[in-house]
Amino acid sequence: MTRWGMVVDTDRCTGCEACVVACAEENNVQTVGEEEAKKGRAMHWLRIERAVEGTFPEVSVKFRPVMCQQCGEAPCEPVCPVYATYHTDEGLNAMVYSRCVGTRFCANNCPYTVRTFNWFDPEFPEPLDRQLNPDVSVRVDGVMEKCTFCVQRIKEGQRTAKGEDRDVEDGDIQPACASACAAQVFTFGDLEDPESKAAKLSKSPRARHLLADLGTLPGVIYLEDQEWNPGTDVS
Amino acid sequence: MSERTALTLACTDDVHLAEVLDRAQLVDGSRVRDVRSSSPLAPSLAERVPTRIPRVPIFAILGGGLGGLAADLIASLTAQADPMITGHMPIVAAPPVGIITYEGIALGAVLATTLGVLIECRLPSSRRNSEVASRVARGELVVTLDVPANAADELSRLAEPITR
Amino acid sequence: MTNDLQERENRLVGRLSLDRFRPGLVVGAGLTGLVALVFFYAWGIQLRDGIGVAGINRPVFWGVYITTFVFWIGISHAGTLISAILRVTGAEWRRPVTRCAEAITLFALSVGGLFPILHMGRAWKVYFMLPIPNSRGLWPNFRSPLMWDAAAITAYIVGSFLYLSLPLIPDMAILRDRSKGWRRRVFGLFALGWQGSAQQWRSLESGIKVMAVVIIPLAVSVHTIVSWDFAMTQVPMWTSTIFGPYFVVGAIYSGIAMLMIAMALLRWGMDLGDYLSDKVFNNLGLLFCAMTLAWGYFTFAEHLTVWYANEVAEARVLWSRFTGKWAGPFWTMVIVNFVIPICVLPFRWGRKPLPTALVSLGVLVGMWLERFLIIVPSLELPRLAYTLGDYTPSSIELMVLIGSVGLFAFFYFAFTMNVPIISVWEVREGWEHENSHSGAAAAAAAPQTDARTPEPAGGGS
Repeated sequence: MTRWGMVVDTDRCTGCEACVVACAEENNVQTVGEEEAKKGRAMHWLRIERAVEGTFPEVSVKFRPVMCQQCGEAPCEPVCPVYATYHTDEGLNAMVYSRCVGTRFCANNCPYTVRTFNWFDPEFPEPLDRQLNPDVSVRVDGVMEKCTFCVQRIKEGQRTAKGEDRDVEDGDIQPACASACAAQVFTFGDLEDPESKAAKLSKSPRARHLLADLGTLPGVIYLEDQEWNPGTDVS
Repeated sequence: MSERTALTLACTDDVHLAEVLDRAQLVDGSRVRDVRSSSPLAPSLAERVPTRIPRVPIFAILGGGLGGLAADLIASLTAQADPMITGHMPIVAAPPVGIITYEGIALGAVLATTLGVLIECRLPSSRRNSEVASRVARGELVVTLDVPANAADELSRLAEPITR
Repeated sequence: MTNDLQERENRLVGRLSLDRFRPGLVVGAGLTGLVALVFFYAWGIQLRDGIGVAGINRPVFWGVYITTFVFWIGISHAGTLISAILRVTGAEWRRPVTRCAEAITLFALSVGGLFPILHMGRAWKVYFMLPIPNSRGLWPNFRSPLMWDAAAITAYIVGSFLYLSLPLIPDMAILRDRSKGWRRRVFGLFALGWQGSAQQWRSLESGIKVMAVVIIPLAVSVHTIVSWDFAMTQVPMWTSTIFGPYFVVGAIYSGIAMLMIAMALLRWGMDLGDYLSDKVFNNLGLLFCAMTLAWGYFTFAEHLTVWYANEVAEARVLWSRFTGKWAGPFWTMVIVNFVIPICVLPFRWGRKPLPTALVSLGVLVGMWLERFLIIVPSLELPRLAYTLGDYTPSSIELMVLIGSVGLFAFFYFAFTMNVPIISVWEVREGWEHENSHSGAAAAAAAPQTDARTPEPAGGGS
C-alpha cells in the first residue's frame, strides 16, 4: 500500500519562501489583502516558522516549513460532521471542498494549526484570473482548505504511469513546494516503498515528527539537528 | 332488575362530593362513573372514582426502545454504508453510536409518552357539554353516577342535578 | 371551601390578564421585537457578505457565536431543574414556577439552536447534516460531537416543547370555559377537548411524571454533549475530563439566574407577588447559592490542576487568563459569578426578589464570560506557538449577541401575553393539598350532615 509522505530537511532551509509562493500559485490559494492578513486570516497552506537564536552579532535563524502533516491518526478527521475530511487509503488526509459546510471544528482540533478558512469569496482581479490552475478548484466563502500534498499532481502522475502501463516511479510526482525549492528541502515519496528516497531519509538519525507525543502519526518527517521545542519558542 | 340511569350531579366542593359518594355507596347497585374537575381530585377522593391504571409508562418504555433502536441503526448502518476512515476510530465507533442511541431513547420516550397521554385521555375530542363545562370552570365537581332508577330522586336531592 | 378556592383561582386568572390588553406587555414585546430584528439583520449581512464579517480568524476559529450558543443552551436548564427535578422530589413550592421555567427552557433552546446554523461558513448547506438518503450518497458523520449536539438538542427541544404543552392542556380548558367568542374558540382548539375527568387527570399526571423522569437525564446529556464539543479535542485546556459535569453545573446555575430575573419581572410587572412569593424566591435562592458553590468548586478545581501540573501548552493559556490579555474579563467573571453571589445569597435579605435579580444579572454576564474565556484563550494559544492568535469580536457578532437576547425576550413576552405564565390547575391543586392537610382532620371529625346545610363548622381554612 502506498503511503505518501514528505521529508523536510530544515537544516537546509534558507527561509526564501519560494515554496510558499509556489504552493499558493499551484493551488489557487486566494490572497486576502493587507487588512485581512492583519486580522490573522492569511491563507497560506505552507508557512515558514522562524526561531532566532543568540544575540547580535552571533545570531542564527532556524527555519521550518510547516504544512498539513497528513496525520495517520488525524484529530481533524473524526470531528467533521459531514465527512468533508477523511483519510484516503493512500495515506492522505483528504479535503472535500464541495462537502465542507464551514463549522471549522477540524481547524480547532488541528494541533499544528495548518488549516485555513475562506472567510470571504476569493477575488482574482484581471489578469490574475488567468494564472489560476485549471486542475484545482477555486474554493468559495465558507470552506476550509489546507495542503493536500498537491493531490492533483499525484493523480496526474498516477494517470500518466497507468497510461504508459508502468508503476509510478519514485521522483515522478513532485508537489509544488518540492519542485520550487532551490535548497532541496522537500523530498516527496512513498514511505511504504523501502527503495524510495523519502523512505530512506525518514530513517535518518535526525528524523523526528512534530509534536510527536500527541500521537497523530504524521506523514511529514522533519530532519532537524536539534528539536525545537515549539512550546517555549514564543517570540 | 330495575332500570339504571345515569345521574349527573354538581357538587360545590370536596366535602360535598364526599357526602354524595358516601350516600351513593349505600344504594345497592350504584356505581361512580366519573368525576370532572378543574384540577386533580384529592387522593382520598380520587381513589373512590374507578379509573384504570394508566398505561402511559408502557408507552414510554416501548417508545424509548423503538427510538433507541432507530437511532442505533441510523448511527451504525449509515457509517457502514459509505465507510470512511477518520482519525484513529473504527468505522462503527461504540461511544458515538451509544450517544446517539441514548438521545434516540430519550426522544422516543418523550414522543411516545405524549402519544400515550393523548390516546388514554382520548384527545383531541370534539365533545362539547357547555353546561357541565361551565360548572367545572366555576370550580364545581361534577359527578356522574350509574344508579337504579328508583334511587335517582333521592340522590338528586343531595346536589344539583344536571340534565345532560 | 370551594368558593374560597374558586375566588383564589379567579384572582389568579385575573392577574394573568389574558383577556385584557396590557400596555406594558405590548410595549415590551414591541421593543424586544425590534432588538430581535437586529439579530436577523446582522445575520443577513453575514449571509450576504460572508462569514468574515465576524471577528474570528486563524487560529481563533470559534468566538462569540459559539460562546453565545453554549450560553443559551445552558440557560435552557432552568426549566428542567425546576419543573422536572422539583416535581420528581415532590417539592410543593415549585407549583407557581413550573410554567415560566419551562417557557425559559423552550425559548432559550429555540434561540440557542439557531447559533449552530448561524456560525457555519455555508449555512445554506446545513441539510448535509441530516441523515436522509440523498443524491450524494453520503451520510453525516456520527463520530463528530457536532452530530451528537444535533441529536441531543433535537431531542431536548422536542422534549421540552411537549413537557411544556402537556400540562398546558388543562389550563387551556380552564381559559376556554371562562372566555367568550373568538377567544373561547382559540383556547378550545388548544384544549383539545379536555374534559377534566378523573381518568384524564390520572393519565395526564402519569404522563407528566414519566416525562419529568425522562427529561432529567436528557437535559444532563445535552449540556454534557455541548461541553464535549470542546473536551473531545486536543486543544490546551479544552481536553479536560471535568467538562461534562462542569458545564452541566454552569448551565443549571445560569438557568436559575435567568429564571430569577424572569420571576422578578413577572412579579413586579404583573402583580404576581402572591404566587411568586417570597417563599419561592427564598427556596430558589438557596438552590442558587448551592449552585454558586458548585460552580466555584469546579472552576477552582479546573484551574488548580492546570496550574499545578504546569504542562507547558496549558499553562500558557492559564496565565493568559490570570494575568495576561484576558485578566480583566477573567477576574470580572470571578467577582460577578462567585464573590458577589456568595456575599449576598447565603443571607435571608439576599434572597429577596430585588437583590436576587441583581445578582442574577451579574451571574448571566459572568456565565457568558466563562464560556468566552474557555473558548478564546485556548484557541489564541495553540500548541505550535508560531501561529499565535488575537481575537476581537466584531460589531456583527455583538449585534447577533444582543439581538439574541432581544429575540428570547420577545418570545417570552409573546408567550406571557397569550398563555398563562403560572400553571393555574397546578397551583389550585397545591391549594387543595394545603386545605386537605389543614381541613381534612377537622372535616373527618365533623358529623355527616345534610349537604344542603351551610359549610360544616370547623372546616378548613
